[in-house]
Amino acid sequence: MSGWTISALRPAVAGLALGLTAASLTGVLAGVFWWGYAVVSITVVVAAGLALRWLRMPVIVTVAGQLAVLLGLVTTVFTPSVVPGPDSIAELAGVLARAAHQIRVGLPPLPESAESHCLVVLTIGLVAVAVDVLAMAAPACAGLVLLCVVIVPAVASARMLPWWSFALAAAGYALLLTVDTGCRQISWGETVGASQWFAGTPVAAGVMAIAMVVALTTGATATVVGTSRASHTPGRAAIPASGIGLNPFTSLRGQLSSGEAIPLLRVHGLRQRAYLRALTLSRFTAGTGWQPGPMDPAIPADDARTVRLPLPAGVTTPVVGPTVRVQIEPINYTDSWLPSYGYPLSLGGISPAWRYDPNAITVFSAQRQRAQPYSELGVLPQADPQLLRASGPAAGAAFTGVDPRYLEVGVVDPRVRELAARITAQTHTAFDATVVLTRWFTSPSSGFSYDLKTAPGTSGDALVDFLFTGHRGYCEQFASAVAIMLRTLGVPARVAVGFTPGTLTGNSRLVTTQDAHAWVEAWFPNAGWLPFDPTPLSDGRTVLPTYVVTAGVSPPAGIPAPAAPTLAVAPPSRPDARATTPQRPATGHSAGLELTAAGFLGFAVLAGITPMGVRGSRRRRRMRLVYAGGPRAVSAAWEEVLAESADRGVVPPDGETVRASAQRLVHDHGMDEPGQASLHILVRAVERSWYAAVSETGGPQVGSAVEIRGAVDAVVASMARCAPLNRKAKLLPRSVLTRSRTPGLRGR
Amino acid sequence: MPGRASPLSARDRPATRCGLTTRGWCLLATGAAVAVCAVLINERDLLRLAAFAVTLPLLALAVITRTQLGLHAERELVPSRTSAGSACEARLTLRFTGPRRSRVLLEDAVPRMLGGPHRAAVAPSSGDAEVTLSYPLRPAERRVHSLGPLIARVTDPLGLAQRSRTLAGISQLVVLPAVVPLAGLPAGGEPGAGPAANRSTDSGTGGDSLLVRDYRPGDDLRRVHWRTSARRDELMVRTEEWSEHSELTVLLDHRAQAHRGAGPASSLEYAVTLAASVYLHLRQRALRVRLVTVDGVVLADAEHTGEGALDALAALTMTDQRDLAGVPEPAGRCAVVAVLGALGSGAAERLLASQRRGRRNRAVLLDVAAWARPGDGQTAPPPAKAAQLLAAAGWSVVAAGPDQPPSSVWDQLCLDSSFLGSSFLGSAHSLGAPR
Repeated sequence: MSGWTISALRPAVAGLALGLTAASLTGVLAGVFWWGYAVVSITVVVAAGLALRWLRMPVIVTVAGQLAVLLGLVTTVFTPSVVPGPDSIAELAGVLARAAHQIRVGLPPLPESAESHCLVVLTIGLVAVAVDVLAMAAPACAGLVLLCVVIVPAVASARMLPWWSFALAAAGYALLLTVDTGCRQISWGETVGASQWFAGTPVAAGVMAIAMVVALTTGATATVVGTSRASHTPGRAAIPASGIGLNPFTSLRGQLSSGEAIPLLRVHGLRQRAYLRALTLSRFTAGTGWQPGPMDPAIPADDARTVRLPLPAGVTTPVVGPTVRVQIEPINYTDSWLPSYGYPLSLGGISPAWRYDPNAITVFSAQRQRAQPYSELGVLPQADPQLLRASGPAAGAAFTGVDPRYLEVGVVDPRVRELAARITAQTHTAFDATVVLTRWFTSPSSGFSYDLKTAPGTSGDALVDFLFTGHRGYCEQFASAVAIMLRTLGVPARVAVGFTPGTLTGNSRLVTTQDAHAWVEAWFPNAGWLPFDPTPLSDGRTVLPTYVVTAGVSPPAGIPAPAAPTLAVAPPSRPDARATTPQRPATGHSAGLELTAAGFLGFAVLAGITPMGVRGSRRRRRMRLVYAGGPRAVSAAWEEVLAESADRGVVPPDGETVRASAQRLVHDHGMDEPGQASLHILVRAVERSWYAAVSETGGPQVGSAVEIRGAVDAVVASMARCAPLNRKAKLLPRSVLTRSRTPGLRGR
Repeated sequence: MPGRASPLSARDRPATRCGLTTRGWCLLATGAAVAVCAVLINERDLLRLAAFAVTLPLLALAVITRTQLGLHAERELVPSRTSAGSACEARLTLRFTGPRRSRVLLEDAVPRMLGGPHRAAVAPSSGDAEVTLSYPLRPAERRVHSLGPLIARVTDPLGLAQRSRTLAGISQLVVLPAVVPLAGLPAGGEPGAGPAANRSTDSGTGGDSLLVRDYRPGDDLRRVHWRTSARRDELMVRTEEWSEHSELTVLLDHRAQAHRGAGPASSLEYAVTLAASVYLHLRQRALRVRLVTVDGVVLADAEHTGEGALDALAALTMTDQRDLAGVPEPAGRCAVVAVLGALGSGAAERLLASQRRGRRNRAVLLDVAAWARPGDGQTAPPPAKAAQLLAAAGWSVVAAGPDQPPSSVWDQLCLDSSFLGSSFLGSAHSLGAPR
């Protein structure tokens, strides 16, 4: 291997590692085409570096050349001109400014566009230059640059990066280290024996795979550490100075129980009482609770002056219900969700950073921010109970129009299903079931009570604890329980988080932290998402919608709150330990998937390496015998030679003489002269060992141990030369897999 | 055997050392730092990366602790005694004691003066049970060089952990001083006796070979040979010829203060070569010679072999001693041939005080200033003053410079040097050229 090849290998592999690492950006970039652009950019930079180094340019010139080539690439692809000039630079600056605007205004992931592609080519190209320089000097340090590439999406994305992107990045870095070590060893000095480049590859692959499995397992299990920086400041809701927001559930209880009412919003122009929705939680995970689903960032919320905001899917126009036109003035409210009433039709006076997801009916932004006063024109949906009943029973055909994720239940304790079915057994339509279930929780006969302190649980499942042992809770527990029970019945449902109407002060309503609330939204054809509140609030803050009041159904009186099978007395010192359960970071859902992936990877590695490992350990055992000398050395040597032959598919039939087998080996493997000579030595030693008379000294003279060692090594080397094994045969040696009879230690 | 590094015995064989490489430590530290960051900024993605970065070196360490070197080695230097500038090679005999799965990197710590560290690699499971590697050494300077140790190293395929062991200890390569052939003996052993005159024997004095020369100021009156004086009508004194019974001391000045220059082109090397050549030359003539340094160490006496003397000279290094106080006084009728570097008058007087007057003492005074490289701090005292002092005490003195071969210096010593000494008084530099 020439010096030039070796020096070309490092930058090439470093570029490959960067390409694999760049896959992590999938957390912040939508689509897949950007990856192609990244690969092109890396390839161009690495190729330029190779060419310049081949011309023996100094490092400074090489880097400058790479940067120039990169600039040329960007202008060629993203501007009309080919040669970078003042015009194309200005145009490029415009493209980058638009990309920066997209990043500022939009939410990750950034959609595919020429701007984002240009940004990818430019940034990845610059990183490639840095990696390329480092690869020549200290390839291990290139890992720091790769780390930075991974950190960007890790920090920007609220969720954990997919396990495969991590695996790709880690594999790329390990490959870089392996190749660099190989290069160093090759260029160490003169080499004794056949120079094998990839002798260490199986070990490297094994070490890397195990480390990867450990890392993935750590990532999946160490849930103490969250996945986004934003959700980490505990108790920030209690700090009025910095502004207060409404995280889904995390701060609800803190706000409700803090005793002090901190004003959040002032609402002007609201004539009827209605719930003010901040966001909706559409994803349910057993043991974790409700979380916001993925948001669709496609629609800017501030385009309202020209275009009406779209309605949720399945809502027919005109929408039945009163129109509201309100002015909302945030006081201490700082969050990444902007509250709105009903179905917002237009929002005025908000910054371009806010986006609108019509299905979640949520106005949101990437960062928590203090909003300016804004206005909303919206509709508070109402519906005629008769029309709602017309859509038929739950899980009927009428409910297929909704996004299926609103019907996902996942793993739910069967007792919950059974309870929901029992309560709604008398009803025939989805609407009746919803009303009955909601009112069952608020009716005194069921035995549930409102309490900011939930009862201590024992089952490890907050939902089961609430329904079957505690019977105490606040809006979070009630809304969570009813929403999931509705889904088990086949009614599309979700949890809405927001505020009760607040208190009337003069012409406006004041919403404080005490008004934080959660309720249930159920979806019905034509009407869309209708609010239902199962929480038995005692202070009259509950808004009972007309369709619930006029529904004319009531919950069956004969079903009290189900009692715990055993009387669970929990230590009173932890009165509300379970209450915090649903506040876990929002990524627990991926733990199972990642564990599976890690396990699969580990299994694949084991399965792939094991036959080779078995072969290696057998070879080592035999060679130990050979090196130890003594009576068993010769037999072990012969076994090893036969195993080498079997790896190449030649197995001498049983009962053949040693001599004949040797001839077969020579013929079938086309062994060269030194191999034949050594095989001859070995055959004579075997014959003498097996058949010669025992000498006076206690064993047959079979040639010196050194001679046999040398012979075995020479025969094996000759086979490797004349009948080389391909990769598959090395990974899956036939001598192990075909279960061939290993020649036993034959004695006399 | 100086050239052969014996295989280290089982008892004092150093344990193999396993540990992380610099890269391994860096990765571990990076992993730890990333883990701390992950907790601080609450990013589990980073924690995953940290786990990978920490696990990788630890696994590599686990792998490397289970990897056997499977190798023993011996080093032999052929030849182990050589002279500067001649060819020499080191032979490493590698014996394989087991199958090797990894590439073993060998590094023999060869001093820079012999060509720098030698590196070789042993491929995994190469066929031969015993392999000899040899590489050339280029000794350029007289000294006893130490080679080694030979260290074998195995790293894991990712270069994160390594295992190393000392395979062979330290071998010594003795680079002898250059020796030049000399011819002739100092005439009559006494300055002043011309070549023609010094064989004027008196047949009447029995078998003794009697030599006479002109009287010179400072000669002992008791040694005046009155009969010859009467015949020649001038004062003649008796001298004795160097014979196989004569004893002679070669005195070598190796004070750091007295020499200039560095490496093979230093005045010390010149002095060592001259002293070695004189010593061996006189030994060949069956004289009883001792080789003594100015600090009183007897490098070789009459009983030593010539090789022993050369070995001792090979190991000679400069001394920090400043004056010549320790010069041993030769016993009996022993005369001195001194090879001296820069000699201050104080040192010269010390030298004279330690030697008995009236002997046939000779000195070669090196004009060390001529060896000095630019930037050598101290200027050397010119040899003229010391030459004057020595000559006044009856020594014959020859000056030598770097462009003067040692054989010509010896020739000058052999010549009548009585007025050579006197002309020395005039100009030190004119002495540099052979007459």
